Amino acid sequence: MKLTIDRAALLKSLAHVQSVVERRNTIPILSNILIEAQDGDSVSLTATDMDLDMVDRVTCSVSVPGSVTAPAHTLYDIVRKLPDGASVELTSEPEKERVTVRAGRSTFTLPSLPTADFPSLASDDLPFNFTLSSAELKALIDRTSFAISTEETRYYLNGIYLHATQQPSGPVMRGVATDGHRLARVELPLPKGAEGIPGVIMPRKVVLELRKLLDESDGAVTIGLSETRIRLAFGAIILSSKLIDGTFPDYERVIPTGNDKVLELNRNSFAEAVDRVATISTEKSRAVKIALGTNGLTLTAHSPEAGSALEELEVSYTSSPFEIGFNSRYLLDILKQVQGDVAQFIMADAASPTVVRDRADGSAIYVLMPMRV
Amino acid sequence: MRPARETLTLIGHGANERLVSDALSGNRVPQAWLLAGPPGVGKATFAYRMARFLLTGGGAAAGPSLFGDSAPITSLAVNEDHPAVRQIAVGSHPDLLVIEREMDEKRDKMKAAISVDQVREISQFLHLTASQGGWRVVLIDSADEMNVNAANALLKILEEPPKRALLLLVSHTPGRLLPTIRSRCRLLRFAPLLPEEVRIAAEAVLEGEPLDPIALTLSDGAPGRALALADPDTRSVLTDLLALFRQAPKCDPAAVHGFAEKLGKAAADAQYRSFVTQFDAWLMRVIRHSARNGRVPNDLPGEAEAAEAVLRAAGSLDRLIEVWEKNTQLFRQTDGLNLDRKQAVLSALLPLTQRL
Repeated sequence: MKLTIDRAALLKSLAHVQSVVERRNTIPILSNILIEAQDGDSVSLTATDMDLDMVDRVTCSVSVPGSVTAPAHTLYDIVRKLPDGASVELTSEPEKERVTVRAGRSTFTLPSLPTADFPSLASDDLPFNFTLSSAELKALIDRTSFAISTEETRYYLNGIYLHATQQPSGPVMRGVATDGHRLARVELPLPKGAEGIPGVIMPRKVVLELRKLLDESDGAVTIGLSETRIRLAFGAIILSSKLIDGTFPDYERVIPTGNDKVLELNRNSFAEAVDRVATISTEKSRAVKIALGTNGLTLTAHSPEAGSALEELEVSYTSSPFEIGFNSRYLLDILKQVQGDVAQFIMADAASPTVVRDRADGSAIYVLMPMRV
Repeated sequence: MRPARETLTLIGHGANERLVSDALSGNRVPQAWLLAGPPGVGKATFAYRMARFLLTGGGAAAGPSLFGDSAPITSLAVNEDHPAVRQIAVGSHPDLLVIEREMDEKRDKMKAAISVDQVREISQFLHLTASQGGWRVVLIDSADEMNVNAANALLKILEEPPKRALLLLVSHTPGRLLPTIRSRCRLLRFAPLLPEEVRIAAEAVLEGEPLDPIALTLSDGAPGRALALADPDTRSVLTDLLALFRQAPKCDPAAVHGFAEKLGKAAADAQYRSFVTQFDAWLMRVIRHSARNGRVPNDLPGEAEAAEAVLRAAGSLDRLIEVWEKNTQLFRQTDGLNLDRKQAVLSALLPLTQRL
């Protein structure tokens, strides 16, 4: 294999794929990336940690097609240190098991492992294929990912549950995440091709990796899905991963429908007040108390060591007065995702789950378990 | 020596192959298997063979037939050109997880046990779907090396393995595993091979080179052991040991100390391991022959003389058996508790080289 590639393009692509490669690897081939140059003018770089793999395609000029593996982090470090605007030449010498990197007057010779050692990626066609815009996917991830559980014993909560369902307004695709204390549910109109998709749980690792890449992308994302795999293609990148092998709990059961105490407040001023008052609450519980009365809302926090805080807010509330406590961090996480000015809290009593939503936008709802304070 | 993950041919163990094939054909596959037998007999080779068969799509390729009687599986052999074969050999197959003792990078030697963190990797692995959509295989080589916490963590996984997941536990001493682990696995016993089978299996690895007859004699039906004994780096250990024993019961203390010193060095890990195996195998051999009221044949140079000297030093056959049992225990403790190896070798040799 022999190819010449612009340093900036190679660096950008390496920066993407090398993030999949783990720093410490007991299996040598996994610290390598696979570089494949077919006939034509592009090269694909592949990296995997055996759960998740990423392929990025870059334009270059290929003089001899072929493929080779190279140590991911070393190659990335080299290309990073090369001067801007340099043109990089990659040459493989399979018989000597090495790969040469040349740029200007620098030459590097790196060890290379046989390409056959590289884990083969499942390339079979996935039964379901549909397209989401990158903004839709971004919103779906942002509004749910904060609620993903990190608890390993409940591994089936360690991701975003993606499924299709029927709503009065028509068929929708839903993303749901929960950690047992809070739950986030986001709906999108069901894209074409996603009818009848299996409910899948997208692992946290893919979610994070995907979110990073979406910042740089603004086109459409093509999603391929089967019961055991998800593949996301956007721009020149294809990200593909195993899924969580488990059953997501029946979350509908925990979303209350009979709550009657409706509180409406300005999202911004409430978030700021919660943040201020929470300074006092203990590091561990982060609890804040909300007292609702006819003349407004009182936010308080007490801590045996740090003292106490109180702040009053004007809100719209007409039901009977009562008190309820929340974890301030959970409140802020949710308020951050409410896009409109007015957030709606729909409550029952101090011990039952509260529903939070954006008054202007019904596509996302959040459920929050109160704290006893 | 060629590792088990690269060995495609299986010598002997035909009954086990039939047993596993039948289980796979019958669509009632036990999800956990305990492969038990002496070290080096081919348990790991067999386990990799099972993994290879399942991960190359074996067992499910044809699917159920119209009459519900798809052709039975008769062999676990696979197509050698399948890409999965290569990936399994280098450890890069996404649906195979192998748990072995790890390297301790700070001390630059192998860790003494399989830790609980390593066993937790298994649950993470099994909580994700299979990359190729088929089986997920976990191979623990060996289950004996798990510490208590690791064993308990494994128990949790064995209780409820997910669908299409197979756990293969290799064990040299299944009796020492937790009874709760044993009872959750289908036992697959590996008997020692016939000398001829050992020779074929070992020579396949040596790539045509003939196997040293001494190694074959001491192999106890385990090709792995024959190969370890045939290794020129560790061969001298046995020769030195026999030379030492020939002086018993009046060995030069300096010579005994020198011998132990050499094996106790951090760099002599392979030599020490081979000493433990060979010492054990050879004493067993002396005991076996003496118990039959016979003399130990002179299969190894100076062996008969050394055997006599050792018996003389021990006092009687009963005493020798006692010493042998004690030493087995001692070496196990040395590994488990990280005791000083030189002292362990000295304590093992003392009752055999000196009349106390």
